[in-house]
Amino acid sequence: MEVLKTAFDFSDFPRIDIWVASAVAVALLVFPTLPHSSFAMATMIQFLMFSVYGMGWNTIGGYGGQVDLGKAQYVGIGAYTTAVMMIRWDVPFWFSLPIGMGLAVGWSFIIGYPLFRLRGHYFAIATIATSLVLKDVFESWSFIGGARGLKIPLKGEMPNFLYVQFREDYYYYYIMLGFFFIGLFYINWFRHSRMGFQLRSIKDNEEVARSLGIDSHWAKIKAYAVATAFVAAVGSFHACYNFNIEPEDVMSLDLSVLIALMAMLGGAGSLFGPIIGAAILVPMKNYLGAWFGARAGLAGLDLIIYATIIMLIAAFEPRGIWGLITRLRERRSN
Amino acid sequence: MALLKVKSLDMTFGGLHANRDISFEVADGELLGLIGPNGAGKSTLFNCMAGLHAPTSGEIYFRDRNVTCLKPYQMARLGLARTFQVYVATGDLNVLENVMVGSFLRTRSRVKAKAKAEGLLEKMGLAGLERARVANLPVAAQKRVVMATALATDPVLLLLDEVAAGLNPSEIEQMMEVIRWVHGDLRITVILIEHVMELVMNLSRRVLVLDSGRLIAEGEPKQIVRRPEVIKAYLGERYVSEHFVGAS
Amino acid sequence: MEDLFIQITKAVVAGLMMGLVFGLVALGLTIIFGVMDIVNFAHGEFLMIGMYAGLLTATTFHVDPLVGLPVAAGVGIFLGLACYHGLVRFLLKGPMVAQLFGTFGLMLFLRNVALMIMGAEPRSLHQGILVGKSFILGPGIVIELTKLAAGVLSLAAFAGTWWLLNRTKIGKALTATALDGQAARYMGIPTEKMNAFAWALGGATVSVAGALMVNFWPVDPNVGLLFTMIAFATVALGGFGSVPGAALAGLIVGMMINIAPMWDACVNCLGIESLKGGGMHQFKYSFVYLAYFLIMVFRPRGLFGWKY
Repeated sequence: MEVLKTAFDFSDFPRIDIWVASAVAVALLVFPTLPHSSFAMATMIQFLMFSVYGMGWNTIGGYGGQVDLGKAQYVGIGAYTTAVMMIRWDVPFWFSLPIGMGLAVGWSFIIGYPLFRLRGHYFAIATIATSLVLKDVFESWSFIGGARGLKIPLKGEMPNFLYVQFREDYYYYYIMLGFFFIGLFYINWFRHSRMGFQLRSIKDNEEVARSLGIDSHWAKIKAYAVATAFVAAVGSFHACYNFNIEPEDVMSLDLSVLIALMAMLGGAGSLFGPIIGAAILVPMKNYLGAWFGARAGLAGLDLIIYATIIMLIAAFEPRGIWGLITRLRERRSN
Repeated sequence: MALLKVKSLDMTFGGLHANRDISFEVADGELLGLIGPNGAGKSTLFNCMAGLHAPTSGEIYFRDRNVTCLKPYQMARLGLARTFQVYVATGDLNVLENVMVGSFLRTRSRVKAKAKAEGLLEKMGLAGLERARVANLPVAAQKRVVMATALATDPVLLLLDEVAAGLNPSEIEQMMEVIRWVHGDLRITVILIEHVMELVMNLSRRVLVLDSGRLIAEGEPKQIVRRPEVIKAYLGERYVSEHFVGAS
Repeated sequence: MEDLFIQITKAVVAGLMMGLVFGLVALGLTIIFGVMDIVNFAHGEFLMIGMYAGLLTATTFHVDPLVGLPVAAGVGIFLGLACYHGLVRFLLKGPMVAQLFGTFGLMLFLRNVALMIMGAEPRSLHQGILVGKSFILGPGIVIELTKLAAGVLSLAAFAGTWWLLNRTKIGKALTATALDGQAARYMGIPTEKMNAFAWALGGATVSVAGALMVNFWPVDPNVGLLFTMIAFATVALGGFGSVPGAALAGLIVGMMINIAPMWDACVNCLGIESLKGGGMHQFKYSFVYLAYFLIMVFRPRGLFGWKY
């Protein structure tokens, strides 16, 4: 019971934040009923996906302070588990989802144990290394289709809730919205929980944290597993949404970076940060890409703008947008 | 009953022999002072007891368990808490949250952890500062936050690392009160490393003196300061030979 | 048997030559790290730009690619300085997370600018005085002159850098800053200028390495990441901050990447049909990433590192 109370405890935010968040939540709930283009809908679904990706990343990357640039490998595990189980053994999404998460988390414990002996940029590079290795393995594994990937066939009539296959996007939207809210409340609980406090203490000063009884190595591994679970869940969804997965899509370094980037832009280590980051970057990417891509030869421009934003944020406000807001508020109250 | 036993502890770092053959016991409920000139090896001994380094040789027993090679977090779980000298707070956790990290050791419940932390802060005279950033507080308050955090872990033995450093006389008085409260009311065994003689001498019933890695004297504060070897350690050979007739 | 010996020797020599180039690639990264503890994710992009510099010089002015080398060096110096003054200078003030992301942003930026200007098509350069010729090391052991030259010139660049760092005043100042930044500052060595110098040097060496490969490695804007990862693995193996470490580690990594042809040679010779196939080839870079991981977990200091 206390868990639920904590999950809904937003009391440390100023009133206005709660109003804004509530307004946004309502807007998200009613969005599909408003007139919208299919492009907008796709963008919204992507926004939700990246929000959840980012929220997961935030546990280890934000609260934990360890920048993880290899999350895509777990997206892949989630996606492929669902896809393979659906294709070969007719397993419905709702069963393959926890199995995929379980496999991903299991793998995360295996590499997490040696991985967390590293810190800082060495850790970051190691996460890239492991992700690239797994991607290579998947690309050579014929059982799961190798580099060509897998096409997921229709399993009967749509709308199909068992296998999560729909013609209309709004079904997908609401499922992802469900994930979104579950994720949000989970992270709210997390940051108030023992694990959350321990992680933040480790991030502040690891030696002091250890002297207070925290097994820092294990705490980081646990947070990493949480992040993995989030990311794998969205990966499973991705397989059903896209009907088509390949390693280059779901396991690329670009994806890992985007996930980390959105969380960092919005504010790593804050509850709403990853959501803000996704809210800015996903539409930007899609609309810029569409607008500029239409004029041939400027295809890479959206990424250039992205990259410039990253550099500016890194140089001047590493705590992201939320950090900026907090800083301005503190200055105003002083 | 001996709460802590140190037997023939030796600690070498590369070429530096920081602790040589140190043996002593700490009884349950004691308030022990650890003094010695700079470089004597006090911090190293402290860190070995706290689990930060595994001694090169020798053994440490805590509550009759061999804890020689245990890590700091394991020591904390067994009931040994310590304070840190220079605490660099990067500003993510406020005062209350800092103390809560300590109380989370003994409970999973956020409500209980918060209550315990708030209670401790009040007893330490820091009520009202819960939301402040540790870095913004004056030194004396910072030290009390650090102590509260350590106390939140419900220790049986508390190691205090130069808690009086940088405090003015009235703050030292207040700190002494706090330590008396911890020792007397909370019944926690305390070991203090100190340079501020006033604090050590007034609080401790027993004092250990270290010099150049060795334990050179042990006894009551008033008697310890008269011992030639202790004076020699602090003030040098010449002082002793000049001021002590017949000392050997 | 003799055939096996020849095959293996060929693979070993090729591996060593590539290894020298990798060493040169890693050199810049390790210098920058040694001097200011920052890890440059855009390192591979510098190499890519060096490749284009070499390629474009050769094709535009119809000269031999060897002429592209000093051009690449110049471009590298300019690029290093620009990045330092434009970005890195600010990153150094921030937390490590920021530095990571800053150089990552730089990587994305450079890669996509190149993509926009050059297009995604890989280009090769098959002209030049060295192309098509081979050097005969022994009976049947033939090595392409382009690769040999790349290796030898890398060695020369290494020697030049070593000379610069140890025998010139400014080089020694740089080494001093790397060893102990504060002490160097007390001695009057201007840290800002040393940082900039490190970036210029790092940029120059890796650009030259890129230009050296133009004759045998297809040039495209996406080639950077692979080399960044190889450079990291090399630097980790050699020890962060160590120049001789980078050289030795480069050789080892070069050999590691060439395990595939060696494996094939053994397998062919011994006639083990079942082990033939693409496996080793596909995973050759994975070996490198795996090696990085294992080194960092079990021996983070690498071979000669003093900075971990």
